[in-house]
This record gives sequence, structure tokens and C-alpha cells, in this order.
Amino acid sequence: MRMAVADLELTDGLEPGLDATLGAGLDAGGTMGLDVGLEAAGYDAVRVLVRLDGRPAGWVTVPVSDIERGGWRAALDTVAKQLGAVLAPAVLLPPPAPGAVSGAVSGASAGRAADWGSGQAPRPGPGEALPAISVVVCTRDRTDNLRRCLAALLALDYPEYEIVVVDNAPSDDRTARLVAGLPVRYVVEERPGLDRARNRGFREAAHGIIAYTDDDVCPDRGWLRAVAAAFSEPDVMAVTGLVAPAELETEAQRLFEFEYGGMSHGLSRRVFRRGELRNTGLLWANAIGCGANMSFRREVLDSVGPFDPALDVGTPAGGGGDLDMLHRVVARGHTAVYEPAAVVWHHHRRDLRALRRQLFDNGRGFGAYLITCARNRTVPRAAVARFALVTWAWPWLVRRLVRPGRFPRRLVAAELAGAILSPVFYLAARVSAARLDEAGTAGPGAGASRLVAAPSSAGVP
Amino acid sequence: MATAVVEVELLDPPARIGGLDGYAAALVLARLGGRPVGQATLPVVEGSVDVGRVHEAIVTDSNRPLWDRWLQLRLGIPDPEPAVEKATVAVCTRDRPDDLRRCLDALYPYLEAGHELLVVDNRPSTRETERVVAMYDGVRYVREDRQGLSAAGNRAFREASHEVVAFADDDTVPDPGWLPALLRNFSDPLVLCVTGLTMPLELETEAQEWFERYSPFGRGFERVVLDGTQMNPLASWRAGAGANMAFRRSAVDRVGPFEEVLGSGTPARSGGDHEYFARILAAGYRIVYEPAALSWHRHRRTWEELRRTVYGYGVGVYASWTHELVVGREFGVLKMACGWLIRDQLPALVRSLLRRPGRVPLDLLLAELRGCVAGPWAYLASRRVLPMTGGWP
Amino acid sequence: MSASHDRRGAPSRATPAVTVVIPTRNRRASLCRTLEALARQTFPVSDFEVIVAADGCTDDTAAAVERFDAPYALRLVQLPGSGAATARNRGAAEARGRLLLFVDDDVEPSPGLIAAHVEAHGRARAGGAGVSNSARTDVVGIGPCLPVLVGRVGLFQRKLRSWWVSEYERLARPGHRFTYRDVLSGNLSIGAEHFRRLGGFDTAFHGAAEDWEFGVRLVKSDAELVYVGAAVAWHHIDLGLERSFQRTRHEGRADVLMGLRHPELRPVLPLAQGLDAHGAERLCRMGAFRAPVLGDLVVKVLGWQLRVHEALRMRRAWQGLSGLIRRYWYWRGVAEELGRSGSGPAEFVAAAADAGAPEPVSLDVDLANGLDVAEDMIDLVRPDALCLYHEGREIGELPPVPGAERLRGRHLRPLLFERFGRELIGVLAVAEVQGRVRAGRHPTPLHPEEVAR
Repeated sequence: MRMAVADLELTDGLEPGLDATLGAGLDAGGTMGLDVGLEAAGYDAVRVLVRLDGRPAGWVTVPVSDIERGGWRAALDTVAKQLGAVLAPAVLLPPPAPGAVSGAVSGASAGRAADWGSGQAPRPGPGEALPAISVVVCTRDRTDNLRRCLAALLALDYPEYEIVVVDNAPSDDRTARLVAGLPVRYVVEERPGLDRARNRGFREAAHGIIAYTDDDVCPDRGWLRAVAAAFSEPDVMAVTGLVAPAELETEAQRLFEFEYGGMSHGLSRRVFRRGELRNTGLLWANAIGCGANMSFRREVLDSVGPFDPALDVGTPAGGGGDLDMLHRVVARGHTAVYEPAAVVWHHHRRDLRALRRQLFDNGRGFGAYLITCARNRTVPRAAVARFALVTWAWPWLVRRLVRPGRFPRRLVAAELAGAILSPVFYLAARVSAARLDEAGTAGPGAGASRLVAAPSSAGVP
Repeated sequence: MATAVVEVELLDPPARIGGLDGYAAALVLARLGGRPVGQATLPVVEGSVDVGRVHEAIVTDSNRPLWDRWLQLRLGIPDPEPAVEKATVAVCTRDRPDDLRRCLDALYPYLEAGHELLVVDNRPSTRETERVVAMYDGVRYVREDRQGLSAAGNRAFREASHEVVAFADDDTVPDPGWLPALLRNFSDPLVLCVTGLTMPLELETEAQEWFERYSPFGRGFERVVLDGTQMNPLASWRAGAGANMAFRRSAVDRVGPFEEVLGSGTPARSGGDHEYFARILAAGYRIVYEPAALSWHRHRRTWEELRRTVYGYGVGVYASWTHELVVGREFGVLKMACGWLIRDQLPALVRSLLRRPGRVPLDLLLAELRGCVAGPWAYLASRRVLPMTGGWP
Repeated sequence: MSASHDRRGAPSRATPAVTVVIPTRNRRASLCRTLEALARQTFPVSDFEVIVAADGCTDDTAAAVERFDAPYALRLVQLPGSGAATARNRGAAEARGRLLLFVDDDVEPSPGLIAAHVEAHGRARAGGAGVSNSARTDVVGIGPCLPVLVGRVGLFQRKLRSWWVSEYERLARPGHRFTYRDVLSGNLSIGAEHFRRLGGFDTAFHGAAEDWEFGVRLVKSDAELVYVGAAVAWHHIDLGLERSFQRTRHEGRADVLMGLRHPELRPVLPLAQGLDAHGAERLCRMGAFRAPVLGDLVVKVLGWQLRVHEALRMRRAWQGLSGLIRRYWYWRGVAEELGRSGSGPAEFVAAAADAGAPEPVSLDVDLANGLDVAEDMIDLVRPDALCLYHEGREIGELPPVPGAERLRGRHLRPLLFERFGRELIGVLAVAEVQGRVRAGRHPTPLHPEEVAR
């Protein structure tokens, strides 16, 4: 069943007959907008992320037959039926607009206007200017993906931000040529490894908040606003966000999204603090977020340390470096927030072979991450071992091998294989990382850094 | 650090609740149109709490009491009228004149509205209470020298002039809407008792915070009708706490009075209210838990008092179970005792010994267990000294 | 066939306003208690008469009635044991009052009972000034019979008392939609002419449910059923568990008769709901139909087990077992009656509805026009079913319920609250969003610049 993906912002309205206001996930051409020719294009349903004032409220699946019959009005009826109750808290009993501080016990509050606020983003901090953010994209030989990603990044609605593209061990100069005319900073990190690239990006970044994303991801227009809003509380050190599927064209993508669970972490805001988490919660770092959508304050990256290059898996994305960093941030006592309004759209692997490879890397990466946790002793080793066997391996890998449901067994086996082989790969990675470090400390600035054009406000009005 | 206790009216909330410097967290009670619909504990950041976070915690699509109330307001369905016009409000007290003064300040408007206000002074050591009561015009004062809170309660039943008697503990502060909310549940002739929601008045000391965490009085925000013919009467803890309850006086004729062998002030230390709830249910009557009947209770401030309270709670529960077993032949208490031990007490003990996060302090758990062990003997000691007044249906 | 004679003594008006009809059978003490309570009514004694229909009494009831010294007109009608329905019909036939008030012999009226019923009838009539008006009297008043337990009080009696009180609580709720099962003849008032027009109780139903059958006809004839909360009476229940099982057996038979008499009720009868059950319920049904003799024996043994449970205070076990035994006796009654008609329960339920039954009327209601408007519309049309909308968006559908009165405006709000709460909230949320959008925000489509290449 082929599904198109759409993003419905309810405050943009859905008057009967008005059907031009729905946006869809980006296709290869980089344009947005969905024609009313869905059935002709071969789609069976539309998977819609329903948002209210920027906040995701829920997912709805609208059959194309309904749309063909009743127009997008039918879509709104489906929304009402499936999500009405979820929308009710935000709409019927809205939280107060940010205003002045009042007395200790509630009384009548003056001047509370039922206002939609600034529209796309959730409540920004009261009266603060939005902080400058450095967006870091690490890429390796995936120029087409990167083109799409940059198109979305350049369209972000944010007053002050810069884009740093870290080209990791490029084999040709296609990426360099792609970014040549664009207002982005281009940096080459010769030593291969995603985490090295991330570290390099951190060193090159100029602002106080560093937002990481991957090259196969198209961030949402309001992404940075949501991230900034989450950072408005001073004790928040890391912010992760919703990773939604950009397209659900192929079976591999649908399997990954629906049967595996995708990369999304739900639609409700969560706060992660060490004191409130048990060891299991600390170790399940994928519940906190993932590398496709994670942002840190400069000071926490300074204090908690760089990304660990031994966790790379040698592929452009994947590995456990992001999990390890998030785990360390929380384990050292800082606060991390999962903010679902910070949405990015991820292009899942299109074919099954690539998906299998991805899952193998997932297994490898997670295993390596657990070994790192044990080595760093952020969590007692016995707890890590128990977690690895009782919470991860048994229910997630072994039991699903026996009873995979609709998920193909081969894919579960791939992840299990990765997990079993992870110690081997980890040792190898450590050895090669050490060697690269020795080689790289010689000479100034490993890897050339080319400033193409200093971006001013690279946002779209 | 301390936790502030604040309220928010969701129909008209402020953006932030300020003035909370010195507190690390705030317990926020949310109301919708005056009715309590939820609570949340939130960190205090720079002396204030963001009400948006309160919303996130409380206004969720799964909060049934909230949406029931919202729908009720939206559809214009009125609350039922009180079944009785006038009631007697009784406060049983013993040597706590300051607390009593605060309680009477909160209750005095009921006297002005035409209800009766009665203070039962239980075995006082001074005349201070009498003097306090004399300062309030129209409040009846009665002195009961028999030992125990149950005896005081029974005296209140005898002295009351109205059919419904509402009890407020002397260390509570009832809400303005407390009495009407209780009274409107008496239209059902099988309802002999209505209990309310009891929230903490303050959470200044660690002992108070731990009391609220460990054994809060509240039973949630959803109105529940407990029908003795449809549930296990021994599970009377579901009805709530005796700090906030109202009875029909004819309950005394139908199921008997409070059991004077049990309860605060006797060797059995506590449990008089729970035993009465269980007896009402066992006789086939009903108890309504009405969260709109809100009352604020001042928990014990020092750790020593907390430990003693927890110990007394253990003693009282086991003493009342022993009573139910011996007098009522209720063999189900054995199953309840095992269930409590295996499901709650032992895991809490293990968690505490292993120092897991969220563990209860070990001395509290041990105090409760010691109380449980002492319970049956305390009951026998109480039987030797005091006469039994209730029976068992 | 039977003698009816006036009780000399109290002067009676030629046409008293109210006639109280009390069917009785071998309950002399209880009957006397009822008669004494009637002597203490606030309603003037000269304005009502009491007819006792003694049905096959062997315990000296007739003599007791003769001896009774009543301030009101008291008459006795004797029947040879034809059943409560016939007794009530006979009492009603002899009645001279304009308002009939049926009171059972184990029901003790409170002093304000008759006055409350009279007031309810007067109030419900437009411009009525009391019972003397002979306008279209289609009001039926149902008063509560609050249970008072007599004799041995065990788990069953308490459960029974709770059940009765819950029933009346349900009736007392504002906006309650009456069904045929709410018509209980222990404390029932109806205009005499209305009663005669409907033909009285169906005498084929003896033992149980003759009032429910009457209720079906009341609902069909669109009578106005009113709960008269002030007409309190106390029902002295002296019912043991065994007799209650036999009662349930009669109810089973009565349900079949009801289904035969009113075929459109079959899907909502309790026996229809029990058809899909599995496990123990199914076993009960099989036993009742296939092996009643064995079943009776098994149930007898289980009855002893029930007593053990009660003695040991094993309440949940007692609950489960007594429920099971009751289901067995219900199916036993059903089987007896169905056996006569020759079909199985499933076929019985599935049989086509009566061809002559009128098509149910459905009404589309859009709540966006306002709840008051909707209520007025429902009162005007009196539909059987509703389709609820809000600004054209569907909230839900209330299907027609056989045996329930046609909808009135006052049913709407409780219905929305209890059955459609969640859907209503969802639809209102979406409508609120749309409303705010229309109020002034312009759509901003998401179109990024194309990457220049």
C-alpha cells in the first residue's frame, strides 16, 4: 500500500473546497505541495502528521478513496474522528499565552488573550531574543541527499543561524561543487568517521547551540524555532526531536516505519533527568533521541567530551556515537528534552538490502555503545550487562526472531548479527581510531576548512 | 528543599505562578470551574512555575475527570442539589488549640449559613480548647472524657441535631465548597457515608513531603460509588481517609456506632475509620468518594512524628483486621494481609535495601512493619481495657 | 363469579378522585399494614377509595378486610386465584375513581403518596387544575418502592436491596429515557379511562412481567411516563434465595411470551443478549435446554455450595456462583416456554419483526444551531432515533431502541454526556480550530525556495 506523506497544520485551515494548503514531504525534486491527483499517482492512502500551531498532535491515515470522494474535507472529518480527543487539550482548554508573572496562587489573570502566538513554533521564551544556532550536517559522498537537505535548511524560518557542512573523507568534489554558491560553511574532515566529522563540526561551529542533523533528512521549517524554545529553560542542555518519515513509497520504508518503529519517539514532550531515571532508562538512549535530530549547548559538549570515534561503523550514518553522547549528557547529570515540535523528515532506506545493512549497523552500533557505557562506568557494569541481555537482546532481538510479526525474519537476524559481532567491530574500530589519531595529530588542523561565504541571516522571511 | 502547594483555575489561568522563591518544587492542584480535576508536581525555576507545564501534565486527553467536568459545563448540566438542607459539622479534637483555631476559621461560614458546628473535646489536659471555642459565637462545645477518637465520634453522633454529620479533623482546613459537595451525595438512600479528597496543606518539611509520597490521603479525582454488595468490603481503604468524611446518623442504628476499641487514642492507635467503612460496606450499604469535597490536611512536621504516625498506621490496620477476623469471622483479612505484604511491603523493602532510585526511607518501612507485627497484640490490649461498641453485620 | 360488596362505614363520594387497587394473595398482615398506612394519607380520606382484590386467599384475608376499620371507603373483591394481572384488572373494573393507583400488598405507602401521584398527574396536564379535569389523561406515574429487608438478611437480600435502589436512582435521573422495564406496578398511577382504553394487564402473564408487558403497550401508545419521586413507599421484601430463583424462572417464561406478543422486542430481550456468551453461561443454557433434570440436580448441589461460600464470607465466589445459578433458572424458564412453541432461542430471536410495526423515525440534529434549538426540535418531532452532527460533521448515531419511549428534548444533554462525550469533544475541538482560522488567520503554505543549481 503506497502512502504519500503530508504535513497538515490545522491553523492554516481547511475550508471546504480549499485544497492547496497541505504540504507534503519533499520529493526528489525539492518542491513541496501535493496535487489532487493522488489516485492517479498510485497512492492508496495519505499519512498525515496533524499539527496544531506547530505542535504535532497525531498521525492520521486518510484513504485516498475518501479524498477523491469528498475532497480534503473528508480528511478533516477523519482528523476529527481520530484525533479530536487528542486535539482537545490544546484547543478547548488552551494553556495561557506567555505573559507576566503573577501572584503565588492563581487568581484572575489580567490580559490573557486567546492568541495563536507566533504561529508555527511553540511558546518561545518570554521576551528573549532567539539564540543563534549552528546547524552541522555531516555528509560523505551523498550529494543528491545533501542537495535536498540543504534546500530545506536554507528555507528554515529562523533569524540567526549558520550551516556548517562537514564533508567526511570525500572521494570526489561533487559536494564541494554543490555548496560552492550557497551561503554555507564548507569543511573537509579527511579522517573517515561520522563522529570525527561531528567533532569537527563542533569545533568549526561559531554559535552557542549546535544542532546536528543528517544528510538524508529534511528539517521542517519551524525546526530551529522549536529547538530554541526547548532551550529557553536554562537547565536544558540537550534537545532532541521528532524524526518523521519523508516518504513511504516502498515496502522497505513502510516496514521500517510501521513494523520496526521507525525513528520517531512519540508525540509528547519528555524530560530526561538522571535523578528520575533508572539504569534501564539511562541505557535506552534511543528513547532520548538520535543523531538525525539532536542539539546541544556548546558548554555541555565541552564538558561531557567529544563524540567517540570508536563507535563509527564506517557508513555515512549509523553507529552509536549519537546514543553515546546523549547517554553521557544525561548520565553526567544534565537535562535532556525530547521536543516533538522540532520535526525533521527522514528519508528511510528505499530497498530491502539497504535496510538490512542499516539494521546490521544498528545492532553493531548499539552493541558498541553498550560496551562504551561499560568502559566509561557511567552506569555500573553489572547493570549494563543485565540490560544488554535482559532488556535488549532477549526481547528485542531473540524473541522477535521467533515471533517477528509482520517484520521479515531476515531483518531481525541482520540486527542480531550486528549485535553479536559488535565487540569484534568495536575492537577493530578502537584500533583504527587510535591509529588515525596518531596520524592526525601531526600538522595543523586535520583536514582543510574552506569558508565559502559567511552567512548572515540565511532564513527566509 | 520545600515544596509549595498552589492552585490553578484552568478556566482562567495565569501564565506563570510566581512568588515561590525558596521552594524547589510546587504541587499544583488544578481546578475546572471550581472542581479539582488533577494535580502535578513541577520544578520551580527562578521562583516561578510555568503554567504551560501544568497544562501539559494535567490537561491530557486521558484525564477523564477533567473532560467530564468540561463537558458538564459546556452542556449546561447542573450539579445535583444537596439532599439535606442543614447538617452538623463536628470537629473532634484533643490538645491542639492552634490547629483547631485554623479549622474553625475555615468552618465558621457554614455556621453562618445555617448549619450546626460542634466541637467534641476528647480527654483534654487543659481548658485551652474550651477557651478557643468560646471565642467563636454559636459553636457548640462538648467534652468527652472517654478514651479515643471513636468515642468522640460517637458522642458527636449523639449530640448532633441534624441527620447528616460531617467530620473534619482538627488539623484540616476544609474548602469553601466542601460541605455542599458532601451533602449532595446523600440523595441515594443506601449511601451511609461520603468521603472527600484530602490534599496536603503544606509540604514545608521533609517529613511532610514523605508522608504525602508514601501514604497520601487522596484517592484520585474521579467520583466513585463503592457498593458493599459489589466489592470486597475489607478493601475499605479505597474510600479514603477519615480526616474528611460525613455520615447519616441512622448509620448508627443500621450498622452500629464507631468501634471504640479501635482508633486514634486507643492502644490500637488508628483504624477506627477504616473499620467503620468496612462495616458499612459489609452490611450492603454504599460509600461515595467525592473529590469535589476538598479539604487540606496539615501533615506532621517532624520526622519523629512521621515515624510514629506510620507505626500507628501499621498497628491500626492490623488491629482492625484482627477485629474483623475475630468478631466478623472475615477470613478474607488473611488474604489481604498476605497481599499487602507480598505486593507492596516486601518490594518496597527490597527497593529500599538495594538503594534504588525512588526508594522509601528504610526506617519508615521498618516502623510500619513493626506496627503490623504489634497490631494484633495491641488489639487484644485494647479489648481488655475498652468496651466493644460495634458488632459486625 | 365473585362477590363484591361495599364496606359500610365511611361516607364516600359518588365519584371519588382516586381509587387505590391492591391485589393480594395470602398476605394478611402485610395487607393490613398497607391499609393502615393508607389511613394516614395526607390526601383527604373522603376523596379516595380502596379496593382490595383478594385473589384465592386462604388465610382469612377477606375477614380481616371486613373487620378493618377504615376512615376511607374500602371495598373487597374476591377472585378464585387467577393471578395478579386478573386481580388488578378486576379491581380497576370496579373502580369508581378517575385516577387508578396500583399498590402491591407488601408495599407500605408514605403519608404523602396519593397526594404526590395526584399532583404529578395534575402538573403534567396542560392547564390542569387537579384530577377533576377529564382532559386527555395519558400520564403514568411511577413511584419508588424503597426496599426494606424483612426476615433473614444475607448476601442475597443485600444485593437485592442494592439493585432496587439503583433502579430507582436511574429513574430519578433528570433526562432518563423510560423503557418498558421501568414500568413497575407496585406503585403505579394511571388515569382510569386510559387504563381501560389500553385494555388493562395481559392476563396470560401470571407470575411475572405483566407490568413490563403493559409497559410495552404504554410506550407504544406514547404515554408520558413520569417518575414521582415524592410518592415514596416502602417495599417490605421477604424473599429467600430459592424463591428468587423461581421468580427468575418465571421471568424467563415471561420474556418468551413478551417476544411472542411483541416481536420487535426480541433483539433487546435478556435472552437475546445471552446468546453470544461462552463458557459458563453457555453451559447453563445447554443444560436448561438439553438436560433439565440433570441440571436441576446439579444446581441443587451448587445451592449447598453457595451456602458454604456465604458462611465463609467468600463473597466473590458467592457472587459468581449465584449469578450462574440464576442464569440457569432463567434459561430453564425460557426453555419451558419455547419448548411449547417449538423453536430454539436463536431462531426465536432472529424471527422477522412484525410487518405491521411502524418504521422508526430518525432525526438529524445539528448541534451547532444550539442545544436549546435541538431540544425543541426533538420535542416537536419525537423521533425514535437520532443522527447527531456539529456543523455538518458527524458526531454519532443513536439507533432506535425497541421498547423505549420516543425521544424527548430533555433526553439530549444526558445522552450527549454519557454516550457521545468523547466524540463530541473531538468534533468541538476541530470546530474550534476552524472557527479561529475563519476569524482571521491566513493560510501560509509551506513552500521553500528551490535550490538554485
